Amino acid sequence: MLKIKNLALSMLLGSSTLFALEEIELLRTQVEQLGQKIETIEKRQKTQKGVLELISTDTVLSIGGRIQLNGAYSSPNASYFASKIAANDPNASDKFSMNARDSRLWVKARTPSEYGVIRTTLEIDFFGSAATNVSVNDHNPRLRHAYIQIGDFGFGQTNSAFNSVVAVETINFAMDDTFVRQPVVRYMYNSGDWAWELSFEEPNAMLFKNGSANLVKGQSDTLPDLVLRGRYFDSWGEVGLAYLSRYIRYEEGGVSDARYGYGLNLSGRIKTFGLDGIRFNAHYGEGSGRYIAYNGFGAGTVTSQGDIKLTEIYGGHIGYRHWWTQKFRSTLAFSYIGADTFDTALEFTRNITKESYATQLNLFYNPLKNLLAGIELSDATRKFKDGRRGDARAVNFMVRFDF
Amino acid sequence: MKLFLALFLLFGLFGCSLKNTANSTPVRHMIKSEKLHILMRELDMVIYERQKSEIDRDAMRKRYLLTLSDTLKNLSGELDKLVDEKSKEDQKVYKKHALLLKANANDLEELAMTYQFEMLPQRLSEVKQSCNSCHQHFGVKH
Repeated sequence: MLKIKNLALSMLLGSSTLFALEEIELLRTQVEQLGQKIETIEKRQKTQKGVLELISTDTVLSIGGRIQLNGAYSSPNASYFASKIAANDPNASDKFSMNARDSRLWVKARTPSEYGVIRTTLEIDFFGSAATNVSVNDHNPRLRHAYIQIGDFGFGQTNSAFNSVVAVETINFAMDDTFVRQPVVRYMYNSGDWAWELSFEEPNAMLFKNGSANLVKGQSDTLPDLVLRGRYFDSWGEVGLAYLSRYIRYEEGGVSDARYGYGLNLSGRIKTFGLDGIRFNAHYGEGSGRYIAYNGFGAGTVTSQGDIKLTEIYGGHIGYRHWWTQKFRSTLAFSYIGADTFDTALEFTRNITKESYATQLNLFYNPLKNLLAGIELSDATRKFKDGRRGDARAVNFMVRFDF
Repeated sequence: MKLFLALFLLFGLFGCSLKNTANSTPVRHMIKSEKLHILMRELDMVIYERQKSEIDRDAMRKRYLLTLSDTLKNLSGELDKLVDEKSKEDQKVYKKHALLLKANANDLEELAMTYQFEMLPQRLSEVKQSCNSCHQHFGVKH
């Protein structure tokens, strides 16, 4: 670029006898301005690599995602969730499996407006219906996020405000994971080190009731779930406290009942040495149901008289992440979840979970900035309300690249 | 279970403290530089935060960047305080770098407030350049 500029200047200066001095000066300025413009464009192209800018609407569109392979050797073959570990069976066999369903694709956009920056995100993964054709493994896409944030307001489907503010870095989930993704209408307020959220969310009470061995989705919700959350950020880390309030209603065949359920969730991360840190979560609630442990526990039980008896749920997890080197890190985590489901539920199904706990230890390796590989050992136990017990061990591995 | 407990204790032993209780300006400068390193690394790690949407991750990036910007402004202030201890020639260089750091901090703050995270690698590289150029001038070894 510099060579072209110099050449142009030399040519102009070489023929200076033909031009008045003012004209030469004008041309010199124009060449310099042109050079600056080209440099700006080159710099812009360099710094905004990977970004598609929609010039006509001032919208900046980014496309990204990840490719992830998950693998597991389970002994016995078990789904590693608090209420899905099977009761011990001497005839159960081990299983090895792999999938790439946790690969994701997202599109996000940013548009300036008089109300602040409008931000949207749309994200899918491949955990829709699983492939039945083992020859081609054609898993279907699934909506994860479809969310818009305008100034302090947010609308659409995204993570619940009741979720933990941070999660332990593990391949398998913690037994008590406090995690829900659903349609929400939200107001957010940030003030220095504090952030506040008021969120109205999809209700969906899940109940045990006569005639079904599984939790049944309530069809009589009349109010959205309400979540209030406060977060505090400091140099030592962050902490969040969320309060959930639910109106759980049941109506069928002329019989109806309603109860107010609630939940409290305290979570955070505390830095210790260097990049090391502790991540934790503690939960207590009555009727908080599907917000904990991936719908492992119902909000309550409907008795034969049509009364709702709310389920008390309590649990927590703690994990310590240690960095061995710049590229290797490990997390050791312990999680526990317990519930007191009303005895009547045992008349509908034997598979009522009393408590589950797990210990996980992993090693992650970051050979490149966006490439991650990990291996994890897990040991979990589920205790049933009728006294049975299920134990599960697993070795999980994953390879992931974010683009 | 005992094995996991033993490993948990082992984790604690491997930690190395970054804390330094000294109050002199050069030491405070060193501590803030270390804080900068950690903040930049944490920014890189946002991508691996589980159970976060892209909007959540951007909110995290914004928080880290505003902290980074504050730390840079403090560092710039520390440089100003160091000026008195130097020769006239060095004073000029210190002031120049202090101004540069402050400009870097303002750039990062603007980037965070407007969510222009595609510009982040470029801006962070400019911060590193500013730090390295000052350290090289005064023979600071990393």
